[in-house]
Amino acid sequence: MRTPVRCVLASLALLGSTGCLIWPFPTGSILAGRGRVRQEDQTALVIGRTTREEVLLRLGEPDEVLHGGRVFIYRWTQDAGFFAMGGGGSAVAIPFPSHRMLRLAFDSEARLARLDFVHQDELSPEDREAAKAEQPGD
Amino acid sequence: MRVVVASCLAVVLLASCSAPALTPVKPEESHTGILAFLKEGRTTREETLLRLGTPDGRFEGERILTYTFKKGPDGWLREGRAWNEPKKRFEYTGRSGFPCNLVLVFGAEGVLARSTMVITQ
Repeated sequence: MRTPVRCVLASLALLGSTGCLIWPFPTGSILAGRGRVRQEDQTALVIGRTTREEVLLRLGEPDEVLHGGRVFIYRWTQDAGFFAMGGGGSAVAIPFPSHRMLRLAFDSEARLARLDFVHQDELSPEDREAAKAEQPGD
Repeated sequence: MRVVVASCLAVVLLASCSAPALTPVKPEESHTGILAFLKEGRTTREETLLRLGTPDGRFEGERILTYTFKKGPDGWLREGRAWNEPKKRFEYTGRSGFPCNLVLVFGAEGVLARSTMVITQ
């Protein structure tokens, strides 16, 4: 009688030492890229007024320059939480990546003409073609 | 009760953690060591190229130059970039930590007019 009880208790103890956790909050880590662009920096960029020079002085060199310098792409990946699983004395945590991209387009007078902030890592088909044409060796 | 309050506080604090952001630093704070020669209104493009070498980025017909650095224990170190074929873009290589971006804007006569070091913090 005591052995089954011990087995049940041991099973419960084993169950208690394994498990998983989903943490749906950002922990403040940058997974890829130089860093995020703050909300206040985005609001300081005024269409028709902010120049390419001011953007560079505020945000530095963009991650991608397309259409002969008319489009700047700043991209970064930050964690949006993690999934953790543990058991048997070991554990693993997998972060949820959240891709962000700021696309800035300038007019012929080097003033900001368009600003797009997107939650993705993929370029538009038009920008992808431009990137392909401007890659080194071509 | 205290445990519940502390747990709630911990959740709120962790939830409000924000990722490091691109932050421009004033020249007087960043232009030290090998960058101490950079003086707005005095340093020329020629002197900059001779001292720092080929820039990582050139904009508006070389009016604006950018260089990438890392902050090392003994000061600024130039940082390299390499083409990542699968991702089809340049990526920073080498040392750990975030790269810092020096932006130099030259005036019509090739003299440094404005500059910043964009760091991640």
